[in-house]
Amino acid sequence: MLEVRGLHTHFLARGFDNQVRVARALNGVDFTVGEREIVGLVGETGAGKSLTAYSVMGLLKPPAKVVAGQALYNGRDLLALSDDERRKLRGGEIALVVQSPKSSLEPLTTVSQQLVRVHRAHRQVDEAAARVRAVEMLAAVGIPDPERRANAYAHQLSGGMAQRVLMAMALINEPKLLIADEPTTGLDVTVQAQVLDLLRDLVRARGMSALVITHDLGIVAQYCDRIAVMYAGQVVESGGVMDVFARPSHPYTRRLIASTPDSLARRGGRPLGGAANPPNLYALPDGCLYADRCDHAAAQCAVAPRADPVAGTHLVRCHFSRQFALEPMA
Amino acid sequence: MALRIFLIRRLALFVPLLLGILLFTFFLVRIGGQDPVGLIAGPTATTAEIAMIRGQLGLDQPIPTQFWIYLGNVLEGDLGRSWISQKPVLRDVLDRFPITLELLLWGTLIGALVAVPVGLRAAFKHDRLFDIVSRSISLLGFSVPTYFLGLLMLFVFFYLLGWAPPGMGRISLMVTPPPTVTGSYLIDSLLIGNLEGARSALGQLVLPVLCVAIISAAPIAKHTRAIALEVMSSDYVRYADATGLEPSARIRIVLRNSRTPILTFVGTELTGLIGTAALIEYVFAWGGLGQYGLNAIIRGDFSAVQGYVLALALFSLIVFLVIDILVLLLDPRTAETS
Amino acid sequence: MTQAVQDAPVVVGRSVRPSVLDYIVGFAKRSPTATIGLVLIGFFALLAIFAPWLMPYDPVAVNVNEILQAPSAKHWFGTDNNGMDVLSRVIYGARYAFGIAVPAVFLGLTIGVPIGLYTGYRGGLIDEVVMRVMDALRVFPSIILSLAVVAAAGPSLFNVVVVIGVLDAALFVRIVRAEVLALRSSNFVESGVALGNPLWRILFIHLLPNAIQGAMAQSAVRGAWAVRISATLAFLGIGIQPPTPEWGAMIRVGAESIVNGQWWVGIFPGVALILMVLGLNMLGDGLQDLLDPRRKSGAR
Repeated sequence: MLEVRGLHTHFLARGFDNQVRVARALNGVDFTVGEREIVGLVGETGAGKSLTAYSVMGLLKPPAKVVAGQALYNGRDLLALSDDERRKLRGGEIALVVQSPKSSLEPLTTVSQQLVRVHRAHRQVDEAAARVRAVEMLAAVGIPDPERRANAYAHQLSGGMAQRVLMAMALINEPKLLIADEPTTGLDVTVQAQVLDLLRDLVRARGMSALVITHDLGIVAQYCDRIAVMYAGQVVESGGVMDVFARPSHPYTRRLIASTPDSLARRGGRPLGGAANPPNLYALPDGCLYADRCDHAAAQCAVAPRADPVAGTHLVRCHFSRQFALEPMA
Repeated sequence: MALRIFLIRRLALFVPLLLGILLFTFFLVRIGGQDPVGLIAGPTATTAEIAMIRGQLGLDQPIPTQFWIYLGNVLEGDLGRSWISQKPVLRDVLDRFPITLELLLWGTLIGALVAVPVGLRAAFKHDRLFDIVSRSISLLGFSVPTYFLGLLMLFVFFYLLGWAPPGMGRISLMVTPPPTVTGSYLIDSLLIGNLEGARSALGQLVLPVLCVAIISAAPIAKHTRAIALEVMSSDYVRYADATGLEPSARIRIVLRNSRTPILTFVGTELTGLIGTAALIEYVFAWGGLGQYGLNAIIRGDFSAVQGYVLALALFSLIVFLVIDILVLLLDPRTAETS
Repeated sequence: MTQAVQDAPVVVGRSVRPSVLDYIVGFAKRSPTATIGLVLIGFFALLAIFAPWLMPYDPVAVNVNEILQAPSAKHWFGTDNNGMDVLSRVIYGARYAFGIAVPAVFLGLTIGVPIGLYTGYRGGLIDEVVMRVMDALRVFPSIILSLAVVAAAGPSLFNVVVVIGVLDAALFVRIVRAEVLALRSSNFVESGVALGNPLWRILFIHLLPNAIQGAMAQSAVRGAWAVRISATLAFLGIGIQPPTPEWGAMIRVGAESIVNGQWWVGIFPGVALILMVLGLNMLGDGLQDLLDPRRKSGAR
C-alpha cells in the first residue's frame, strides 16, 4: 500500500556567519503500511513523525526539502509525481487528519461548504449531491443533528466536534489511506477515546489503511496492528504491535515502554530522561544516532547499524538487537 | 438584533472616550502657557482691554470651571471663534470638511485600488521578483515626506512638463466656482452642466489626489501583503493544501479570510491620512479643513485648533464605528461574540 | 513543521571559527534590506560626525554675491536665496536628524518599556486604564497630534524631542505589553516567581531580555518617524526656523523657489531626508523579518 524507503528530509538555513547549516531532520525513514493495516508511528516531539507524513504528501515548504528516498503508493513513487498529480491524490486517495481541528477549519465558511468543496475537488458531482453526501458523512462520524450542524461555523464547534468534522472531510472521498497526525492532542481524555474508537471503526468498516502518528504508546497498543518507533529521523524499530511490545529490541523502544504510557502521555511527548536535550540535528554523529543517549553504547556503535530483522517483519536498527530481544524487560 | 445591541454598546463606550477627547483638546491649548488673549487683542491692546477679553473668554475663572464652560459650549455647538477667519469655528469646520473629504476619499480609494491587488500579488509571489520590487517601492513610499512629494509633483508636472495647473486652490481663478451642493467643485460643476468648471476642478484635483494615493498606497500594500501571508501560514490554509484543493480554490480562501483585516486596516489608515492630507492641502493651497487646521496650529488660533482636533477625533470615531459594523456583517465570529 | 528546527540547538558543526567578514556577509545575505539600511544610516552618521571637516563652506554664511546659484564645480549643490552653500547645509543637517531621532526614541523606550513590562505582567486596573488611554490616543492622527502639541507647548527643540518620545512611548507600551502577556505564564517566569524574586527582578532580569526584541526592531522605524516629524515641523515653520541648516527648514526655503525652477534649494535636502528615513525604515523592516522568520519564509 504505502512503502517509505530511505526518506531523507533536510532543513537548510544560512546562519549569520554566512554558513549554510543543514538540519538533518529525516535520516532514512523506512516503514510500510500494508493493505487494511493500521500502523502507529511513535516518537518524541522532534523525532520527525509529522515531518515524515508531510514529506510523503508533498506538503513541505522551504527551507524543508526531501533530498532522498521514495514513498511508493501502490507502486507509484509519490515523491516523483508532479505537483498536480500529487494534489489530486491528496484528499482523494490519501487523506490527512491533523491535530488542531478547530484552527484547521476555515473560519468564514460553513462546515458543509468545506465538505462540499473537498468532495467536488476530487469527484465529479453537482452541488446538491455533494451537500447530501456531506450531511451523510457528518452523520457517519457521529455528529448529532447533522443537518443543522452542517450550517455551523468552526467557532461554533467544540474541539471534539471539530475533529469529527475533519474526519468527515478526510473520509468524504473514500480514501484508501488515512494519515492521522496526533488526532487527539488537545482533546479531553474521554473525547480522545471516542474519537479514536470512531476512527478505528471507520477505517475498518471501509477497508482502508491508516497511519496514526502519536507520542502515546497506549494508543498504539490499543488501536494499531503495527508500530514504527522513530528517533532522530529514523525508524529504529518496527514490527507487529504484539511482537514489539513483547520483545522490544532497541534500547530506545525499551526506554519508551519502561516509562509508563501514562507518564509519557502526561509529558506531552517531551523527551524522556537521560540526556535531556533532543539530538542535535545539525551535528548528528556518524554512527548510531542514539549512541550518545544509550546506556549500552559500545565501540561498535561508531558504525551506523542497519535495520535488521530479529524475527519475521520485526526490524531493529541496533547492533545488539538480538541480545535485547532475548532479554526480558525489567 | 445583534447589530442593535452592538451599536448601543459601542455608543455607550463613546461617552467616556468623548469626555477624554474634550479634556485633551481643552488642555491642548493650555499646556504651553501661551496667552491666546494677546493674539486676539493684538499688540496695541491696553491692559484694560486684555482684562476685558479675558473675562469674556472666561479665562479669569479657575481651570475646572473653565472646562465646565468649555464642555457646555461644545455641547451647544459653540466651538468659539477663529481670530484668523473671524467666523465661528463650527461654521469653518463644517464648510471645509467636504473639501478635505473629496481629496481624502479619492486619494485613498485610488491608493487602495492599486495597493491591495499589489499587496496580494506580492504575497502570492512571495520572495519572487514582483514581491521584492513592490516591497522596495513601498518602502520608498513610506520614506518620502508628504509635503516634499507634493513639491516634487509641482516641480515635475507644473514647472518642467507644464501638464498640471499651479497648486493654487481647487479651481482656476479664471473660472467661476459652481454654487455649493456637495462641496466638491468637480461634482457641483457637473451638476449644473458646467463642463469648463468641471475640467478645471478635475485638473486641480489630479496632483493632490495622486499625492494622497501614493502616500496611502505604501502602508496599504505592505499590510495587505502581511495579512495575506499570515492567512497563508494559518492552519486552515495548510489543511486546505492537504485536502488537495485546486490552486484557485486556495486563492479564494486566502482572499476571503484577508478581506476583513484589510478593510480594517484601510479604514484605520483613513483616520491617519486625514492628518497627512493636511500637508498636501498646505502645499497645494487646497483650502480644506486640513489647511485651515495647519494654519491655526502655526499661527496659534487656539479655538480653531481645538475645533480642528475635535473634528479629526470625531471623524476617527465614526470611521472606526463604520469599520466595526462592516466587520460584524462580514465575519460570523464577531457577530457571535459581541 | 518548524518544530524540528526549533528543537535543534544551533551549534556550529565545524572547527574553524568564522571571521568577522563571514558574519558581515552572512548578515547581508540573511537580510539585504537591513544591510542597505545600515549602510545608509552609517553614511549619514559619518556626515554628522565629520560635518566640520566635510563641509566646503560655513553652512550659515550669507553671501549676497552668490544668491540662488545653480549647482556648479564651486557649489556642487548650488546656493540658496541667502547665498548659503546647499551642500554644506545638507551635510550639517544630518546632525539635526540624529540629534532629534536618537534622544526621542531613547526617551520613548525609557518611558514605554517599563510601563509595558509592568502593565503586561500585573494586569488589573492600571493596565486597563493605560490601555484605554492608548485606545483614546488612536483617534488623533499622530502627525496632527504632534504638530498641535509642539506648537502649543512652545516650538523648542526640546519640546519636539519630548513630544515625539512620548508618542513613541505609547507604541512601545503596546509592543512590550503584548510580548509580556505571551511570556507571562512561561516556565522561566514562573520559576523566577517561585524562587521569590522581587518584582523588579522578574520584570527587568527575566522578562525584559525576551520582551524587548520587538521594541528594538520597532525603534528604527520610530527613528524614521521622528526624523520625518521633526522635519515636517520645521517645514511648517514650527520649531526650528530657517536659516538653521535643518533639512525640513531647508525644504521650506526651497519650496518658494522650486516652482520658479530653482529646484536645487529644496530637492537636495529632500533627497537627504528621504534617504535617511529610508535607511531607518529598511533597517526596521529587515530586523522585523529576522525576528519573525515565519512571515518572511512562509515555511511550515
